[in-house]
Amino acid sequence: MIGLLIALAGCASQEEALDATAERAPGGAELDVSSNQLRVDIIPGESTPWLDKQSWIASADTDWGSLEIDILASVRVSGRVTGYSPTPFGAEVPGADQTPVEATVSLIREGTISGAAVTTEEDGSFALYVPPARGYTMSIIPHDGQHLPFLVTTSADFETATDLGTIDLGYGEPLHGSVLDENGAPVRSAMVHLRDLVTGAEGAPVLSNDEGRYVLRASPGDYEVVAQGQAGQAVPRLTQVVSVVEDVSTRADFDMGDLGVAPVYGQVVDQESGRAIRDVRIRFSSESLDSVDGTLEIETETDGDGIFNRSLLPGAWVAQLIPEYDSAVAPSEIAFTVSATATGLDLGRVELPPRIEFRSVAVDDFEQPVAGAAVNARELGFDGYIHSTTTDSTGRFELLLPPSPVSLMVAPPGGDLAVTNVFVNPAGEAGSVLVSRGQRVEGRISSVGTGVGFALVEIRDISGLLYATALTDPSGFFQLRMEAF
Amino acid sequence: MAWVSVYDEDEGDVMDYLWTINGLGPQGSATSFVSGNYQGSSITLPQDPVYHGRVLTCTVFDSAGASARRTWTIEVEAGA
Repeated sequence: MIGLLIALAGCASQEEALDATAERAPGGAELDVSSNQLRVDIIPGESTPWLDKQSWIASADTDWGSLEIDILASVRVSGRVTGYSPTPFGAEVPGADQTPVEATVSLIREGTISGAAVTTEEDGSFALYVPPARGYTMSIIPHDGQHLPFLVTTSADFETATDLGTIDLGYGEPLHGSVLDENGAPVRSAMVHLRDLVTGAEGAPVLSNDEGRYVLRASPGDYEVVAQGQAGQAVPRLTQVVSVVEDVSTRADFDMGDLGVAPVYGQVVDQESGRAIRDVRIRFSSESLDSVDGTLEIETETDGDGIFNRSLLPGAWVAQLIPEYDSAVAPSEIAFTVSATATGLDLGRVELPPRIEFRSVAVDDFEQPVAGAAVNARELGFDGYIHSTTTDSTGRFELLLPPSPVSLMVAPPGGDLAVTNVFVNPAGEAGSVLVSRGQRVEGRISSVGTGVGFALVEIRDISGLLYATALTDPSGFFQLRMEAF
Repeated sequence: MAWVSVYDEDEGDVMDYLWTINGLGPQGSATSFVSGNYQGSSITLPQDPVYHGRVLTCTVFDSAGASARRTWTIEVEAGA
């Protein structure tokens, strides 16, 4: 009989903060996304619904054999967003300054799982709840990018409940231009948006009009202007960097080049049976486009006969063919060129290879089998599908994998062996997986001194690579071993 | 992110976890884990409006064919 215990982080608030220093501060050490910090992600279970998922950042001095991580309930961050809008909601005087703004407000602690986002109410007010920590990035993205600039603030500390008061986005400066093809004809309904060069925050897109013109507003700063077609359109993605300065109108025009397309078609079949495969996702990515220095990515799916047909711009392309997760065939990739003079390109029958049975055994450094270990094989590239199983009493396991290298993570039970990561090529190797002893990690997750039981604990680096996973016991204690770091 | 933890009276049983989203089929981004006497699986989904309102289901099977299931309705914040 199986008992399912816990799941899914909830949302709650508590207006408290710790008196703490260094890594004992809420959220751990200072966040430095440019360094190779490790983080401990804590995802509380349903037994502690007042606690949200959050990350704790380790420092160079962290004692991994005796971690003490005190997490807190989220704090309330509130405020009201105003700005100029010619068509405000909830305002009595259209066009007036200081009218409520419909916007998405997000607080993200970059490189962690701490954060939240919310849409403002009709009066421009917002309230969201985030785990208390330092180093949040706050972005306020108005849904109307044509008349309002967006706002990004870095290094924001929210260790206690905070009322930010009224945040006025103002009117910003105009940034405008045209989106045309190589003949000067307007490209209608192209999407144009801004990306903040410092934080990567992106504003809401606007559409080019019938004359191919667009206008955005931005606060002074450095941005990347991105112009691209809507989803599925064969219009390239072009970018240019601009500096917006006060009281100056900035112009950024885009020449999308020759937008003449050629149909690219074919049929996806099972390499072994020759049968057509439906619902294969085909992701076309340009390597280079003939007429413009831009990129284009377009997706489509095969129909019931395994047929696909998509119009693409001339240039060099790669198509990734990704079957459904539970398919018996593996993903594959093909490269091809669409000629500028072609009226169409028939890729013919594209064969997907079968997944292969990969059998191996997990052993320790005394060649003893490691039973009951969780095994996760992650495909490299494509959609990064993960295939999981558990080793049997003899340490053996079997997985259906693509005939290309995968990243294998073996997580042994108990506290004697480390979560071990290796790369294997299922097509060429079997052998055994040596589970190392690694380094002991032990600690306790608490909240205001009380143990947080049945919380999922994950240790990752700032890029998100998973090193190890554990569950806390009813008193909040956990232990595991992980490879040297 | 969602996760399940499983306790099985039959020690040593091999568990299989199937995560599905209605209308989108089986999901391939779940990771299994083992911790002490418990094992489980976690899944992280991107903040994509395509998931909003859909039902996420995790079904756990043991080697004897027994199963248990848990579901959640996914909420994606507007503007995500």
